[in-house]
Amino acid sequence: MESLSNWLNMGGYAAFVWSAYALWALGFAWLVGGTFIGRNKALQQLAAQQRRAALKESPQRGTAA
Amino acid sequence: MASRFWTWLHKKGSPPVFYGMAERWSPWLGWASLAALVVGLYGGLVLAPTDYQQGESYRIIYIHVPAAWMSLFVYMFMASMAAVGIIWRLKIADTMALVAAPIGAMFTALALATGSIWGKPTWGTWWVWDARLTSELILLFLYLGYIALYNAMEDERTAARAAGILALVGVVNIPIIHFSVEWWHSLHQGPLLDLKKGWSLQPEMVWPLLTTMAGFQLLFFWALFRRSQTVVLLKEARSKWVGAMLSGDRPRF
Amino acid sequence: MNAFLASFERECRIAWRQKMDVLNPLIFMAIIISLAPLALEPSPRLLAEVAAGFAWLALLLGAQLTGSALFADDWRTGWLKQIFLSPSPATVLVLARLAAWWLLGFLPLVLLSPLAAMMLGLPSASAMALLLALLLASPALLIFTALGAALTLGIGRAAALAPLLVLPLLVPLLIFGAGIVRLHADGLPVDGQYWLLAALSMLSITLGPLAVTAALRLQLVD
Repeated sequence: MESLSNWLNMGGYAAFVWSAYALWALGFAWLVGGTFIGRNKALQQLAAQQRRAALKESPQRGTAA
Repeated sequence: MASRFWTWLHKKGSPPVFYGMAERWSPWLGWASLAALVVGLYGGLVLAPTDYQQGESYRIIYIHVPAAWMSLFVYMFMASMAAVGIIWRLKIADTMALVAAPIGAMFTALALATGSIWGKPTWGTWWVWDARLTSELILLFLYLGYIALYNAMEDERTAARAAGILALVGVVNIPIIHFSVEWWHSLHQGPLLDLKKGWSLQPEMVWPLLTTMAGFQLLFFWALFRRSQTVVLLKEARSKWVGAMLSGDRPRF
Repeated sequence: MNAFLASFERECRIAWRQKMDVLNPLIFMAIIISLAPLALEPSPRLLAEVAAGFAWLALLLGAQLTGSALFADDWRTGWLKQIFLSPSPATVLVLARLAAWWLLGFLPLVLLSPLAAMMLGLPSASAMALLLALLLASPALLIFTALGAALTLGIGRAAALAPLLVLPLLVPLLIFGAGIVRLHADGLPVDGQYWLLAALSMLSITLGPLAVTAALRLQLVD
């Protein structure tokens, strides 16, 4: 337990080291999260587009239901 | 010979082929990057010994140096993709250049921020007009100019070409800018310490650094592929292969 | 060569007719210089120390104003289409346009800035070094400005964007140019820096017009 708090303390440089790593985490969260969000948005958009196209091709399916 | 290269390039660069290739490579890149980052950061933050000059504050190096390295690497990559896009009219190269720009800007901003945080315990102030920090700042402006130019133009093709020309001009200028900033800094040798002068890393400190650098590099290519895929999907929304792919299996990580 | 000269003469006449485009940057630069004592303090020692640097900054900013006028009317008058249809290479015609602008738009700026620096208290020996540095750097400065103007030509609100693209690329010119004056004032040799500025200008003259022409060609695609 003590070694953990020792490590977190970073020899008195905790504020510097951890704020640098926090910025890094922020940047990488943007990089990874943005990649996934953009991808999911695009896939949803395309799926919706495909549904609309399918509906146009066979309108009776829409009315039958 | 040249024509065979041309066909090869365009086949590899055709949207479905590129999409499939990225689909195969991305999981490997993503997981490898995660592994390298975990191992490298554990090595850097826990295993590496304390530095006798800088104490524990030197541990910022494990993100600062990879970020600084990537900021240059991504610009070079962006410019070479722009060149391929302009010379061989390869759309996928244009796409990759455009996708790379914000990622490179992020790495540059990260290098600046971590460098400034590292400077505080080392120099005693957040910001000094040190040669490296100054060149990095100018590099950030180059990235921002590129992104601004691309976003300001309406037509996609024109925007990609114009931004590409700017990236090429930038890449010719980067060594000159770097050299001039070094020279400028040598004119004003103040009482400041150079972070890296008279200071060398011990071997136990080096391997985690190389590992995190690899992690950054792999993550860049992962994000590049995934984001390029997204752009390609939206551009090719009406084509047959996208439809077939959407109704088939869904892309994974 | 003939095409270059004929085109150069024509461009000079056109630029001469648009006197305001030439005068505006000059006035702008004079204003910036006169703001220096107001922003800092009118102590002669301080002003003399920052004079050369301020003159450089004023020139870089003034040059940005010239940029917005460089290709302004060319859409409307059809010059853009003409240069690519003309039998002589477009790069030569672009170079002629740039040469004309250097002569009529940039030379006055370059000549004015040592004078302005002297008003701030720069010793005349340093002013000569400043003038030479500015002269050597001005072709590169003009070509970068032209590149910014050409890249942003199709954008309506381009005026704010072009300096954003160009100013970071001007860093080496600024560093060597302003450094020369400081070294010169300390009595150090500055020949190497003059050669460097000349080399940068040569590099820009050889590669720059190609990039500018490519950027102009883009505007015709759509």
